[in-house]
Amino acid sequence: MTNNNTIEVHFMHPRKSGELLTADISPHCTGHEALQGLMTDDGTGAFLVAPPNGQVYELALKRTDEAITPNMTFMQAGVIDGDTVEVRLAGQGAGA
Amino acid sequence: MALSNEIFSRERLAGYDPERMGRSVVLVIGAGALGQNTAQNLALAGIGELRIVDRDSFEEHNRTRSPSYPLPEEQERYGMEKARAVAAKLRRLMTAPNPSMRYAHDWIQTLGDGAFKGVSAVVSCVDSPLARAYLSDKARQHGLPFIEGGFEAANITMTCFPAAHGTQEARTAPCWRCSHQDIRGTFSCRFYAARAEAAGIIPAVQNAAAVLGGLQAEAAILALHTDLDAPSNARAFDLNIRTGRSRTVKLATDPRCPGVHLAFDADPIPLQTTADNTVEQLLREMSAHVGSAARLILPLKLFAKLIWNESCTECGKRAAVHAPEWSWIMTPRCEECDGPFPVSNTASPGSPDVYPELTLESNPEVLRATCRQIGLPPLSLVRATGEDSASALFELGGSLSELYESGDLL
Repeated sequence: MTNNNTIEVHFMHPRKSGELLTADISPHCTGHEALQGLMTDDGTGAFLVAPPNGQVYELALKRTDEAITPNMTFMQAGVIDGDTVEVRLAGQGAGA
Repeated sequence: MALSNEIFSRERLAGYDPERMGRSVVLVIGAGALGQNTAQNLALAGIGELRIVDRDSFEEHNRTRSPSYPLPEEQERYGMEKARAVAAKLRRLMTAPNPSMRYAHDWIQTLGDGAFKGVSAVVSCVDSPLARAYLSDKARQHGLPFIEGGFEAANITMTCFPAAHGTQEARTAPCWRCSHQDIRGTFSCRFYAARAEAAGIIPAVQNAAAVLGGLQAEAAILALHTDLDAPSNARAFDLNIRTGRSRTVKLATDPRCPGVHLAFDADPIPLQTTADNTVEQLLREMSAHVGSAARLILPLKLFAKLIWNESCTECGKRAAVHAPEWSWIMTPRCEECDGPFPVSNTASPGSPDVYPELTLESNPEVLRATCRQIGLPPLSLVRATGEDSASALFELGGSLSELYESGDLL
């Protein structure tokens, strides 16, 4: 824990290999809230751009390879201080 | 060791059970690049019955990623509808001893529950998130394994959801909608290419379609072989076909998933009412069964509520939709704005425009509509409650041949 209320989490970019964003977040933060934060421009540019129409980002805890769903908190997902969370961009088209 | 010349000798060595596969029915929704590659593998592998559903037609640019693109003489014979042309081509490749091919040139939602009758596994090869959500929900309700896939440039993704058996598993096992809750952008495949291009999505190329088609077919076959040593949990598989980088993620159940986490828990009561009878006839027959005035439920989660009138999203005029919500979501426009719904010149003061349920007290105009019009085709499964709130599951009359054409005589 970085303090009593937050954990340090490293987010991996879905397409830019090796690009990480480190953030102190509440263990009660949900997957949806975390993604909203990653798409917010804090003045230095957003880590993620909004996904294309119809696509969604998904999160997975790298240590366990388990998904973190939109309404699941990081605590419920078993995320601990220092963990790495991967951001996935699921495929959309099927070849129309 | 000398290998046998028996047709399935290699498949047996790979662990397949050809007899089981010959008795299996795989429903492939979407006959674009992915659907063709997946279905072709299943046809060759010995699946007994394939069902191909797609509302789209071939265009010239599809040729580069369409193993079943019809030759000129086939275009004259079968036409350019993807479902029909693909069914005709793949029927000849099927290796099962008594193969059967069915197809439908339609939206899967239009076919309703009957499309899933007798099915062993559901494979999604569609573009639309709305259709994916529908298929995920229907697979869960019918207790079927669900395999889904998609492309994003060189990246391919496949998600597999084993069959959820019984009430407890249906409630607790992850579904596709657990991780895909925002299904805006629910445009249909007909408009997909243009919208996708505008949104920066790179369409499929054949190499990606072939790889993903192989993965989907193998996942469907594994779903039929629960005794094989194969992953049994819900999982996502990502692969970049250029770098070879891959990973597997174990999927989780969302505590507030908007999807259907319920399975049909009883055999349905067969009805005399058919899709071409009126809603009033349906309600009267169900009332006789439940012993009181029946209330027909049109599930919100399945986008099945009846939209009677709605404002066109282009011009704002009142459109006479008279169809389930999914139909309106796909093309929310009136005829004057290139949509399918006529402008409504009538108004029924006091009558709602949206119906999540229907009773014999509902708008008489609605009661005079046919079941098919309100989204209940042949073999639809419908739930109704009586005055004591006890519910029962019913099946509309009809047959599979009213939903699918036979691809065996093409």
